[in-house]
Amino acid sequence: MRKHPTRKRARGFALLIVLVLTATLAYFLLGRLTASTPSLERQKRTGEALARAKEALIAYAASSAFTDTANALNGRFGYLPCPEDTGAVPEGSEQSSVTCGTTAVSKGGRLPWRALGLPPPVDGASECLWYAVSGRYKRTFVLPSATSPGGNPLLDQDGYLTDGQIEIFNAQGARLAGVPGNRVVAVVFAPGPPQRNQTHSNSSGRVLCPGNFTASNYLDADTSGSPIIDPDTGAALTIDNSVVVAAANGITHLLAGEDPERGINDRLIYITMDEIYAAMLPLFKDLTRRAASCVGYFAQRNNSYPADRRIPWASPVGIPSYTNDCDYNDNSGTYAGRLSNRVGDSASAIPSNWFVSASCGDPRNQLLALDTPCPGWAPYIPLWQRWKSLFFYHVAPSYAPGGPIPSDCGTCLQVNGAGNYAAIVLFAGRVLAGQENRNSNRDDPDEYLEGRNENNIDDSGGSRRNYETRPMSAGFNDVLYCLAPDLSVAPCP
Amino acid sequence: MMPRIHLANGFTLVELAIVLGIVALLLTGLVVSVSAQLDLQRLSETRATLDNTREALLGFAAANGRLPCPASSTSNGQESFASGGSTSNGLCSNFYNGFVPAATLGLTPTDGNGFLLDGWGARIRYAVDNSTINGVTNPFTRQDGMKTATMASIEATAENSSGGLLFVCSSSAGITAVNCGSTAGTVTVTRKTPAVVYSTGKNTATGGVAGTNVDEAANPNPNSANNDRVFVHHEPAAAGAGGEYDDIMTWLSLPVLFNRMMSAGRLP
Repeated sequence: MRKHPTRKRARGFALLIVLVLTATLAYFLLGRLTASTPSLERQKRTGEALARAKEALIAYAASSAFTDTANALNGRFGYLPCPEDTGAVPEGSEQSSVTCGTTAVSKGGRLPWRALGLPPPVDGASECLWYAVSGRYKRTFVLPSATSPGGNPLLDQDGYLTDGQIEIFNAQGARLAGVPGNRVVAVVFAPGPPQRNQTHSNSSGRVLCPGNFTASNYLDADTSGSPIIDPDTGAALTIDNSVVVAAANGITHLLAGEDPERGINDRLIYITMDEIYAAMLPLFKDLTRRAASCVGYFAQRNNSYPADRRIPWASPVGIPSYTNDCDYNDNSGTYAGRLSNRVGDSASAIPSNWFVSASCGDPRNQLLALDTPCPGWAPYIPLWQRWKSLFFYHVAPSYAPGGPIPSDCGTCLQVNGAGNYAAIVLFAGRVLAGQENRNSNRDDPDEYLEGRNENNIDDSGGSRRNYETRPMSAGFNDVLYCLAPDLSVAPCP
Repeated sequence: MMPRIHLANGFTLVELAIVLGIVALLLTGLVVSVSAQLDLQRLSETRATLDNTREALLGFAAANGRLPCPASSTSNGQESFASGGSTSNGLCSNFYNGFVPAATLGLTPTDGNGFLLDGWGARIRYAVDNSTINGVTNPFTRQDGMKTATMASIEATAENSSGGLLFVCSSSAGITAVNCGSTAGTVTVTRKTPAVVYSTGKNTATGGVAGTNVDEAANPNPNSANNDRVFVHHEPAAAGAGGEYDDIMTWLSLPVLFNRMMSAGRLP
């Protein structure tokens, strides 16, 4: 009888132990759950901050083509801001040209969030973002003169894109982005929490993004002792995300991804030249639209306008000099070819047209250069002059000089098998795959245009009249503007 | 014998006290943890709602060539024009002290009256600039107003020392009705945003102290009739004249707005 109650008492303790164990287990499980949720949240915040910074940088390049007109109309657009690298500028602003360095010298520093219009961007560890930009793409604050437009950061006169100066590797040593010819233009870093000897002391005195301007306090070096091999040279690369190569045209190598073995906890996002070019398309479209409007303006100088809506012939595709404005010279009977600047032949064939056949230097002979009367076009002359070899043109026979005054659109142009257009102006855009020999074959439309457009322009007699538009892609980037029978201009459908 | 058997079947008072003590300890930890978790969740929801609103505003501008007017307290989440206002003149009833037009933008979650709510159930605020630029009144809310005013003129106005669009300052010290003033320590976070979106934070839902903090008072809220183009934003701060600051704010980047509209053919 003494044993029975003792056994009962023992069962009670077992229950107690089970209860405590279960509760403890539940507590730790919940603890782990609540600990992992903020970690995911931090990762998400970092990803979002990087994506927003990238979008704002591309938007900066795109919008400054229209907001910084003093530069843009002289051909300087498509650039990215300088980083914030000194306390001498207001917090979050671009540093001045004095400290941003000369052209082609890449630059790193804090992301100039204020210049981008962003709230102070922080990653999941509440650290402000850092940024590196290729020297060739950074804003240099050097205003070109009207007579010397200077280099465009993005696109040369033949449509070749400017290479970036950054290559990005992953922890396994593979090159993630930035093969020569298509190197990365800019990188945004999320530094993550401080590691090893990094100090985030606020020696900059900044209020919104406190900290300091010493990049190595935020961005990490590869400490693994097993260097990544440069796939181009075979050399061992000592990669340090805090170091941007300071030599002119130097190539900077960076490591992407968090990798404890290499001692990296930076995350990064990068911008390619393709992305900058795509953001510039609105400017090139605007330029093409304005050039097409000037073609329509030619007819307004016909004595019998608006009944007489004849517009100029094209220039041949092959011309003596592709840099000489005067060589974009209309040719009697050429319906498809390059967009004409000199319109003497056409003016001669249409009595009383204001444009005259005279020497090249006479502004009354040029539709797109010198002091052309085409309304609203004058500020855009430097842009046309720089990229004039990329414009092509086709006029429908019934609208060409030489024939009778057009009464209808009997033999007009079509786009994608539909519509009736008096003329089409095309902008060839950047070099695509298969067009790499453009600068040695400038008389071949195949090096400029795609699909049927190339075939149509190749026929100067203008017998192929069905043009095509497609969504912009790696295989098609022609910009087409159509002149309706009343010569109004709109993007081709 | 019977009493001895009954005693054996139950726990002693000491055992029960120990168990209850441990359970109470664990529960306290859990409740604190769950409560912190809930706050984090609400903060996260609010941030996501603000981000969604920003995206919706950019999408609206790309589709319509303008930003929507803020909703008024009686417009049921629809954008609210002033008397005589319309898309053709962009004249809003509440440029600075309105709400997100959730019904116009198709945003959720909303209350029964169609207003967008933050994680704590309070209405999210939205303000839009109404500077006259290049002779165009209300260029941001007028149909194609930005196109007419031109991007170059909008940028010039935003950067002009006597101009600017909506202002966000790092502190209310020294701010005026038109800019962040010149008091040392008050940083102009931005002077060129066309639109600001913010939640008045947790303290609005808990009642009483919302908006009485001197910095929160610069942002129109249920306890502040402030109605100008200058807003204040900084990280949450527990102490401060008039209480804590816990507003959560975001704003539109002018370059991003331009770029979205350019991509949609609404600009230049």
